[in-house]
Amino acid sequence: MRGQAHTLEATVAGLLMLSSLIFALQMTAVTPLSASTSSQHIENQQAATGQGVLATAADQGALKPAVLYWNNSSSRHHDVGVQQFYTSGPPDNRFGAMLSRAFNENGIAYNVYFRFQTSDGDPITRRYVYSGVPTDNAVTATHTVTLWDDDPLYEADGTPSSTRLSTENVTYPMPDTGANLYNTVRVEVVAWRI
Amino acid sequence: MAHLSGEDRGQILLVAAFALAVIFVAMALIVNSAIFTENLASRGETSGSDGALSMRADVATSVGAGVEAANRNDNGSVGELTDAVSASVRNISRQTGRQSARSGRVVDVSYQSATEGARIYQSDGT
Repeated sequence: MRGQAHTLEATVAGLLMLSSLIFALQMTAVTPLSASTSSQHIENQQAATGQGVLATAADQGALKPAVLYWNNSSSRHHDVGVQQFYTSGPPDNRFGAMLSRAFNENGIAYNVYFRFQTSDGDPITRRYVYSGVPTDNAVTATHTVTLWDDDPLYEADGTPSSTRLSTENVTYPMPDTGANLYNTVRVEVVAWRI
Repeated sequence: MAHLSGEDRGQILLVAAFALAVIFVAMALIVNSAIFTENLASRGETSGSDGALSMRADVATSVGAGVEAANRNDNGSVGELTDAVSASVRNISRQTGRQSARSGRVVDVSYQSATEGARIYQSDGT
């Protein structure tokens, strides 16, 4: 009879240990904050980097020249391939250099989109730099730039040309939506870890 | 019924298991608190306000450019100037507002008042 009592006590002890082990293991679940390529910390950092690049470019006057980096005679961006957007690296302007310094050397892929609008307010989205379809953990940083009729298009070397957005037969593909105001563009940088 | 006497009983096993269980639960709590701290650390302290601040800076830049454009193109009279500026402000408000709505931001820019200034220019080009 003593053996049975010991067995019973050992079983209860085993059950107690097992259930506490299970309880403890449940607590080390994978949360969105566990270290991985999709960690919330990394997403926050990438979003802040994107926002910083855009703010710096806007502050240094490099963002609008990048939007208006347009070859009026071939009616596409300078040095762009058969697609209408840059696929092998950023464009050769100051904004492109900033993007490349911030992202390219850190194993982060990014897309840049321009979102214009028609005079009715419908959005027109154009790709500017395109590296592929973003992953589920991509982050977005945005900056809004207002284009005016007097804004010039920019040459391939980054200097303003004599062609303005209000010039006759300008090939910049966006509609003029106001009197002095030409259009409002929202520059979106979508970045993700690869 | 068993005769459970003195020092031969298996209570030591039970006590040890109980102690281990308490340790496991304590460990679980400690791990959990680390998760909670990480969660707090990944939240920005100024969440919400920095978006509004950067938008205000953007809008100020845009309206400034609008005033410049009005001075360049619609400088016939004060009425023309103020009309052009308020038209630009309306456009900025509508377009920027619509763009920002994509990221859950509401922007409303409105024209309040203008003070008539003076412009100095040389009327005779010679």
